[in-house]
Amino acid sequence: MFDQQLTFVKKQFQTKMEAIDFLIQKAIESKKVIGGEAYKQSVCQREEEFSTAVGYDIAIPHGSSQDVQESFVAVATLEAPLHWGDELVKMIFLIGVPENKRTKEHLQILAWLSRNLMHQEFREDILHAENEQQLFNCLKKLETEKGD
Amino acid sequence: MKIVGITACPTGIAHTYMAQEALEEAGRKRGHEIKLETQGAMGAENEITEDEVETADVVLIAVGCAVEGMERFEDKIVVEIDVADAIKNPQAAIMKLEEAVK
Repeated sequence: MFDQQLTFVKKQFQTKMEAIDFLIQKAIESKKVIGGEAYKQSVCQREEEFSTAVGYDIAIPHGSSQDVQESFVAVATLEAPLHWGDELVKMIFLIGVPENKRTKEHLQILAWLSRNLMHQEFREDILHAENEQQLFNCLKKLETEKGD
Repeated sequence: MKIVGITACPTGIAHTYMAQEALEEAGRKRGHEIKLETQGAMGAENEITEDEVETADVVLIAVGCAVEGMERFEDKIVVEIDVADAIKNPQAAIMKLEEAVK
């Protein structure tokens, strides 16, 4: 579910589309997504319906499409706050879920991640990660906890 | 007071669960008993029982799409809010419920 190749710390982006494109490209490189056209369309449509900046310095762009091979979360913390609609964000969680091959386990982890994002302590762990390894470790422990 | 309700969003992957967590925490902080059913990609979870509906003072519907089982709340005070607003400002949502039962 989480992949160290999909964690990035202190990134710099000029626009939200640049950030989304970067993370989708990385998801393609790590074979979580093949092609990516449908997935990008799904993510952009979601953003149009309403911005996925949910407050708390977080944006969670997400989409579900057939070209997603396996559920994934690509995470980036930012060097400087980025405008995301009307909000400023410091952390981006790009989520992809396959259309057909959804597993309950992955959905449970995503739900657990979502709940944890509401906790200040968890957000601070993410924001204070100094490198990719530390950020990955914060996420990895969600898989073992999973809310049970 | 006792609050029951539903959270849901179009994809049912993230907002549903963020809203549940944020609202339950805000509700408890203000001294209320609160239980929210999530209608997400995994179907309905943490389902509210008939008995819980019966004894609830108010029903909170925090959604961004149509939800199932609204007929359960026919005779109750129902407050509907946008799921994104609930995540951003859960305290305000809980205070709106307090107003509604006054």
